Amino acid sequence: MKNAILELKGISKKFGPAYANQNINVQLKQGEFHAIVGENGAGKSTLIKMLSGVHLPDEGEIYWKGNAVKLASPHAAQSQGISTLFQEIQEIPALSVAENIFLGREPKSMGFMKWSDLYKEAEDLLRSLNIKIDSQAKMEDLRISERKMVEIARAVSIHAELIIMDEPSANLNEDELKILFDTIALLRKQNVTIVYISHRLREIFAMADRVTVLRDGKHIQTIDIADTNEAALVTSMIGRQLEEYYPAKTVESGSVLLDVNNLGLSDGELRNVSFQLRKREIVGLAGLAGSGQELVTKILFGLIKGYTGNMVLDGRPFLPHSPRQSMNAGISFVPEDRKTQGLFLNQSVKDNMSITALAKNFLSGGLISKKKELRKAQGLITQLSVRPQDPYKHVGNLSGGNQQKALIGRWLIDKYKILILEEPTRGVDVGAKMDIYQEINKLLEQDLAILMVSSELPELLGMCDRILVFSEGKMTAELSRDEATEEKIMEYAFPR
Amino acid sequence: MELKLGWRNRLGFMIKSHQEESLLTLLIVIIIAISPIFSPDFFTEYNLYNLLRQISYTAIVSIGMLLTILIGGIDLSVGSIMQAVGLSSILLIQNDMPVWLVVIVVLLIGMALGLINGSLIVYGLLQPFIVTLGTKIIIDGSTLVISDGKGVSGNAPDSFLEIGAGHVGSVPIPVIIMFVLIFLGSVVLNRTVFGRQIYAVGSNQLAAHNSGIHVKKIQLLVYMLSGLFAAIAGLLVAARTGAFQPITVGGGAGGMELNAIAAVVVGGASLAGGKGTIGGAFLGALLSGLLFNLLVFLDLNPYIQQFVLGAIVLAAVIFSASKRRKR
Repeated sequence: MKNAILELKGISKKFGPAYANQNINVQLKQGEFHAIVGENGAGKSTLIKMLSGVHLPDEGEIYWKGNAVKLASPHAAQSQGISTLFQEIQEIPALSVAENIFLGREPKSMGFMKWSDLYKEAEDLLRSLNIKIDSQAKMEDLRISERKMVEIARAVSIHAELIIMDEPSANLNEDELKILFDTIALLRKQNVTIVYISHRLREIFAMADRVTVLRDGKHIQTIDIADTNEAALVTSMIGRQLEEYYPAKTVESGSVLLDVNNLGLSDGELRNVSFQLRKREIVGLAGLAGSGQELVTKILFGLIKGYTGNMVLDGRPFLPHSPRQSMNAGISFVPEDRKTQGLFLNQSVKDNMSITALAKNFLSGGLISKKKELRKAQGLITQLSVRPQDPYKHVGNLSGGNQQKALIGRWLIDKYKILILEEPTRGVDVGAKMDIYQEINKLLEQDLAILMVSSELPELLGMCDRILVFSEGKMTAELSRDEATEEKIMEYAFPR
Repeated sequence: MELKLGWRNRLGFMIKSHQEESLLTLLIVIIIAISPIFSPDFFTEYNLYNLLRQISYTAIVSIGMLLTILIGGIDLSVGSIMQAVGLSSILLIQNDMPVWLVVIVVLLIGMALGLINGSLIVYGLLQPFIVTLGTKIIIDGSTLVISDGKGVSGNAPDSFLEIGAGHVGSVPIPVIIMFVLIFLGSVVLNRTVFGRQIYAVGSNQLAAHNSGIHVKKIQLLVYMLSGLFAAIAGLLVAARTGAFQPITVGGGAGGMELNAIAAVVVGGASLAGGKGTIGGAFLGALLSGLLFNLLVFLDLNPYIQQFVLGAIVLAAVIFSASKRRKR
């Protein structure tokens, strides 16, 4: 048995009254690939933030190579040999790729930067990792996934003994995934210990030696990957059987509501997409990030112009070119990132809910009736069990799950025909997730049809009547509820 | 679940949800209450109306400034628009244009200048600070070229002077106009779809677009309104004396845009957008006017006003920052 390079003993962390981590005990063995899994809000991010020096634990000790250490800052962690690839990209946009890689460790002579050495070292490093990015390019000019590549190069260049990777594979295309996996293989040859956080169980089963499961901030188990399987791991993550997690559908789908024919974009990012959506039906759109599924929903909500093909909504031709037009035709839209694309964080829950419905519902004599508005907001807060039950609370002060409920509530005042949900439960805790699933099912009873884009396959499998799989801008499969499995979806999602 | 509140709860709720405004009101009441200690002449009908007239120009401009700040922008050209409108109105009056037409024309000039600001910001995707700084300098230059840097005065008819210097009962007309605009502005901001959309655009432009709001239309309208309010103030200043004076605005030392920004910020608005009220902006203007007025009675150097106003602005910013940190 290899030695423990890092050990967590009785680690706890509180934010306010709630434990984000409670009594975590984990050993990381030298040179192992250790996966950490858990639902959103299970405490994975808090745990790695303590390992990387962003947060200090409230209780417990961290032992690094047998000695108790206090990782008081990211710099302190780095100087011990712990490097972190954060989920949110950390780089400085106005600086070059090379400067970002060697930030704080630039080659200098008498206090002056040695620019030629800097670029040369960066180029050598990038080449050795097969990353094709110009070391002099400005960070802000790169795509998100390219920035991720630079972060990977930076993590390698630190010569860390422990590298923590938080969702490194999100948003990467196939070539980039290969670079990531090759880099990981290279690091493992050098006996670097890797902590890997991912929702993608397939990656974990392909690479991990051991896996630690967190749920509701608690350490559930640490187990050899050979001793478990996907179903057992998921059950352990959510703490109950998968079937109970998603409510059973109680209504039958109706007639065709939306008919999409040969939808495409002239630059080829989307090609010949055709599908139908029926009344009281949930259709899921699956695929690797950037495969075209989110372009379909954006076209439907009028956010992208210049598309080709035609659509018929409720018997009428439908060619939207603005959100307002889509809303008038009966389409509502909960965007992927609620904080930047959906909510007015410094406005009240009430104002966030009523904003789309003011003109049709709350005017009397040209003025907004505050009484009507308040009553409706209170009704929605009760219906969706938003906590706290305060319509005047700023929505930015609510938890992720309650924010999402408030955002969904926005579209339940006026009557719509279709609700588009992008990542409906991203960053939402387990309890609020189940509330949201139940509410989605109840909406079907009111004749609504739902289009759901999600990167969480279990959610699509548990909720949808049909799943459309996208790959490289094309629809590669349409799977019924009975035939859809994670394996099948992934098979069609990967480009071939 | 009906929300029934007694007046006590209602008052408590209002104070809690309008902390800056409540604090300002308290401060102003205290200052007025203790003012007789400094001078018996302060708390007189004449002086109070005089005080309100003095602040009316800033308060009116502040309404427009608040709107631009609410959408996350700013308008540095308001003082210059006041000057340009003042000069235009005097020149038109000299050319015997009827007073009602002069009023309409100069208000349209203000809105047109606002539309230019708005168009550059919205369609040119330019920073409001830089755009309005640029237009401010251009407007200032044009005003100086046309007036040759000299004062212009002419035989203004009484009906024109009445707008700026007249009274209804003992209330000066600019004060009445100020209160009417504050009332209308507050109703528009709180009780109309347009008003709510202003807050939404200022809070999160992308989310506003995703809620079906015409973000560009709202932005254009707001800059036009800012120009309009500046024009109203400019007209009132010019009509008070029937003369145009270069550079100086409202008897003060120019810099109307800065006074208006100060009033808005002291009134609790956030330069990040989405937060602020017209009542707050009015109270901010009132507080600085009140202190200036008192300084005069105390026979102190009136230029201390600048010092005091700066201190109030900093205090207001520190107050709202400490509130943010507490959260």
